[in-house]
Amino acid sequence: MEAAEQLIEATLEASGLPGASRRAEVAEELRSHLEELVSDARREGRSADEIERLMTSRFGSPFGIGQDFSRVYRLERVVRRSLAFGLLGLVSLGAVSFFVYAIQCLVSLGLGLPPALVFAPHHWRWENELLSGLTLGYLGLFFIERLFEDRRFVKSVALVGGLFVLASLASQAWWPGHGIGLAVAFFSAVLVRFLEVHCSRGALRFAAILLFFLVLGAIAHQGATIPGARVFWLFVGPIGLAVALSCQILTSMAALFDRQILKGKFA
Amino acid sequence: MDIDKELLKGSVSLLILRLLSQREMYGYEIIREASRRSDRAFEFKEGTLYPALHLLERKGYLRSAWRTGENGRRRKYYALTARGRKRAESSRRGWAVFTRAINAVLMEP
Repeated sequence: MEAAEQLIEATLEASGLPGASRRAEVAEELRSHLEELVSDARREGRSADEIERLMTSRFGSPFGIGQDFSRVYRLERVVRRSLAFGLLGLVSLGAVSFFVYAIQCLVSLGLGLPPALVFAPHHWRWENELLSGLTLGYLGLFFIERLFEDRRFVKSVALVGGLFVLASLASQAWWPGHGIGLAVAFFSAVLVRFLEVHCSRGALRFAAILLFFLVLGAIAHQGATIPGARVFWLFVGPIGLAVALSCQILTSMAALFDRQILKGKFA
Repeated sequence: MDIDKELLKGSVSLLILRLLSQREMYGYEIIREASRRSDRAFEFKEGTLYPALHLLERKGYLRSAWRTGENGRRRKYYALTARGRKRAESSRRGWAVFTRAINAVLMEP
């Protein structure tokens, strides 16, 4: 029955059926059908090779059947995936924000600066834009690449970039002076994803991301009232390091989600 | 004589609803019954039956239940719902009108 299992596996592969229990049920139904077919063929006195050929020709194209299943369950699949991505986005954003703000508070306390500085309206707003844009932008790039067969990175940047342009314009119209934060966040997400795809050396990748966020942090904190250049870098340095580390958290969470949840339950 | 595949594909739902309006059946049985009644003219790819069954179930025309047969094999039986019964009847009437109209055109000398 190896041929039967291959047919079932190929059908499920093409179906994108949502939920492990649904996939198991469809597999059982197809298996029951193929077992009936095999036992009828045996009764007719056919050889094992003949039965295998008969099964393949009578079953039809697993890809076509999988695609038909995919159409039947499209709405359910879209709803489940949207919920899963939404949840991943929230959990990732929560983890990244908690990590970065915790480091900033610790650094402020260590330098004798008031932790309230971290939550000053201007800083807090700008950083929220950066962290949420970076998280959602990165996850968007990571998963939207799957929609394309070739030139995946470029196409996903164009698609997610288009959404960010619209969000930036809306943000700018609603709160003048805010659109730029989302644009910077998207650029950061593109850089993180680009390095992940094109740079295989982890240490080099981390160093490049750290350098980028240090420069970005230095530019962003130019107008801040932090006394002295040494204190300035003691403040900005760990924050850049925290954001760079949070990018590692983000990429690990996306990869874990992809391996454990998407491939196991949806793919 | 072979039947046009596209024509057959468009009629699968009608065949399923008609066969199940007489009694509940499992997938393999539906295929065997369609083949027997049509004198083996309906020999479609068997795997394509299942997405059609699931679609009809999602539309509320069918309900299904797993049961173990006498030979110990588990099978998923499908039966018409009240809605499915109405649909089967309206599809049958629609098909009769359609074939009458087609025949009227084809058979005119």
